Amino acid sequence: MQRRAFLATTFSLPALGGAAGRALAQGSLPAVATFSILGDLIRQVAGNRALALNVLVGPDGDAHDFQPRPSDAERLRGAALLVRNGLGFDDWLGRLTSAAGFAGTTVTASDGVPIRASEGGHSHSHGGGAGRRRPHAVEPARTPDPHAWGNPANARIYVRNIAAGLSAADPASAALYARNAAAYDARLAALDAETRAAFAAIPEARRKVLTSHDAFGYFGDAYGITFLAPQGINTHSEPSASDIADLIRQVRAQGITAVFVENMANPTMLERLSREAGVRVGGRLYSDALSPPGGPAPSYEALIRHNTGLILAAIKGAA
Amino acid sequence: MRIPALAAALLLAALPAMAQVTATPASTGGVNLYPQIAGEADLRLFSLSTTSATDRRQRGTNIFARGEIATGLFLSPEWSIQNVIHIEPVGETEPNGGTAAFRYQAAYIEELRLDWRPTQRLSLYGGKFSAPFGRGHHDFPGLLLDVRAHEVYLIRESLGFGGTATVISDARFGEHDISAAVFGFDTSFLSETAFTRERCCERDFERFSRNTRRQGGAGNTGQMDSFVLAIDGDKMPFLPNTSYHLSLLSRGAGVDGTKRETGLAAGLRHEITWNRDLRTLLFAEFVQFRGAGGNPREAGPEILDDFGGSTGRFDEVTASERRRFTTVGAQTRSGPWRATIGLQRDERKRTENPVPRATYAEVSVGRDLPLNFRLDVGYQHTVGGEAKDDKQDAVIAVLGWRARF
Repeated sequence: MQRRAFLATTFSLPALGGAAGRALAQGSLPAVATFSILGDLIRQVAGNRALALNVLVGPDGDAHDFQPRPSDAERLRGAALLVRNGLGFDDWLGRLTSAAGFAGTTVTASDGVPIRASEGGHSHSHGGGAGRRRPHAVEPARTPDPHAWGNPANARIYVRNIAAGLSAADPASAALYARNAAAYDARLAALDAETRAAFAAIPEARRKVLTSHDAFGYFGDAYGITFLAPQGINTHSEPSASDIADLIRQVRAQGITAVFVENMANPTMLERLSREAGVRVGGRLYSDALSPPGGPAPSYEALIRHNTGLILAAIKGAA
Repeated sequence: MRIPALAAALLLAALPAMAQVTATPASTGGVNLYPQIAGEADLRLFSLSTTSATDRRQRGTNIFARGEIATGLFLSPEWSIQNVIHIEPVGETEPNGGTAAFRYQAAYIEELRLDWRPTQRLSLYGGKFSAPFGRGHHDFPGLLLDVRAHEVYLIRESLGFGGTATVISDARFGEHDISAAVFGFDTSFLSETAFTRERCCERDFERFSRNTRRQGGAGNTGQMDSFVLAIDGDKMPFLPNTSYHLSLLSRGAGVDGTKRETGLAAGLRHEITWNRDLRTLLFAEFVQFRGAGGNPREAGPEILDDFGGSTGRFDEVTASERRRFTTVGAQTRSGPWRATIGLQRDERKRTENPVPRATYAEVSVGRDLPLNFRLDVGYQHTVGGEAKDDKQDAVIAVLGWRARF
């Protein structure tokens, strides 16, 4: 990573567009994050350093189905640093970077994270919509789950990668970034310990939650919670009626009472499912996007605390 | 290109895949993702009860199975081997007032190809495949709409190379793919048929134990001299919920005296969302072949003796044919329920041995069931086909099952 950052710095700075050069000269670092959670991590590491940060998919936005606009290419064109998640989450970025002629430093925040495999990546289509014809092909069943930030221990790796990227794009402030990253890393370690302690008091058999799409696998693995989701890892996949019927049977059989919608997903399907299964929707979890400022999850730390609180309340309430 | 040369080319094409596999770690951060196998089985059991028919031999119930088992062996994120086994009856059955079950059922390899997807926008493949000509044969809804499209214009038994590139992906203009394939007719061991293995070419079967050069037909030349060029698009802001397909086909002149066949396919789909639970899909596809079947040589008028008497011998003539196949339909879905209406018309204009136009109209209702089953029942009315005034009415039930592994 350090070698990559060094090479990126060596070769990218002279090639930066005029806007990036001007912004750097004026003192603010032009940076782009693909979605709001990465934006918050960048802000935490940058600290007091002046930052001209553009977040492509903002609060409550869905990065899975994001369609870049020409204005997004314009925002990227002048950037010195681009932070992406990787693992297939923001693959639409490739088209954008080539359209923008982006020549800055790119950081894949999930580099080095222990990957969790997600089952159910099939997308072999047999009609059912107006989508265009695709070659007849089966998709891999096991793909990397991209929602790696869900585990605070992984978020610490994200922070290290972002700090290295910031230092590569702006070497003059490298010491500041290192200090901020170390302080933030300590807070994330504390958050991890706090969350682990909160769930440790709940018997493992009762740690079962139903959400819209499968975005909480890393969180679940970290704290021993089983998450069920009708939609799989992509919000654009649509469960069949039989998938939903199977899930209703599972919810009833296992006595699951913790049912949540997500901030960036269409709640209709889950509301119908919870109605048919006879359980109450326990609130709104934040998975792939922060809330706007003033909401319950305007930062990554607030997001984890908000989700933990809601899930704990729903599980304990059923006791 | 002859088949051995093609096999060598495929082997060469596979070498970078092997290199990639050995160069790519089998695991990512401790989780083994490659190699992996994934698949899908989509099987349907048909019960077709012909309640009235001008030709009495057609009356009765015909039970048969159709479907496909598709598997992918994924060597890395970019490389995979894709395989489709197709199951269907390969001969016509006349129930003759009774019930015929699973007659002439067969299975064969429809696709076996090496796929390479170096980027999100590009996919290249080599091996055996169905050329990208038309789309209804894969995804028309309803009872028999896709079955008939599969029989009439799926360009299967194609051995060669192809690819799809997303050439436009823009918020203003939508996403548009260009696909192309160059291929020959497969007469290799990959064309073997299981279960029903008829010898070529003694009876009127759709396929025999194995494809041979002797059976003739367009593209059956031993050369890679057939090609398809296709354009597909959707996500157009000026035409929301709409997709289109356009393709051109040219198949080589056969060694049995048949000529080059050309084809055109144009498809359009549009989905109307009435509310979150209620949607209607409108679909239409038009396919035309010139020199359909490669202008096959067939028996013409009988040769008479000097006194005008029958000799039992026939002139061999070239039957030039223009074939047009049109499908229009609509399907409305609400939760697990669906209702479909469709009309298909098969027009064959021939210089010799004319075949009347056939029109098929069907309506059906269906529902998704537990355990990945689904059931559709409906009615089909047919006019034409063997003779101009032929009429048939049939009640059709289809039990489907889909599973992923």
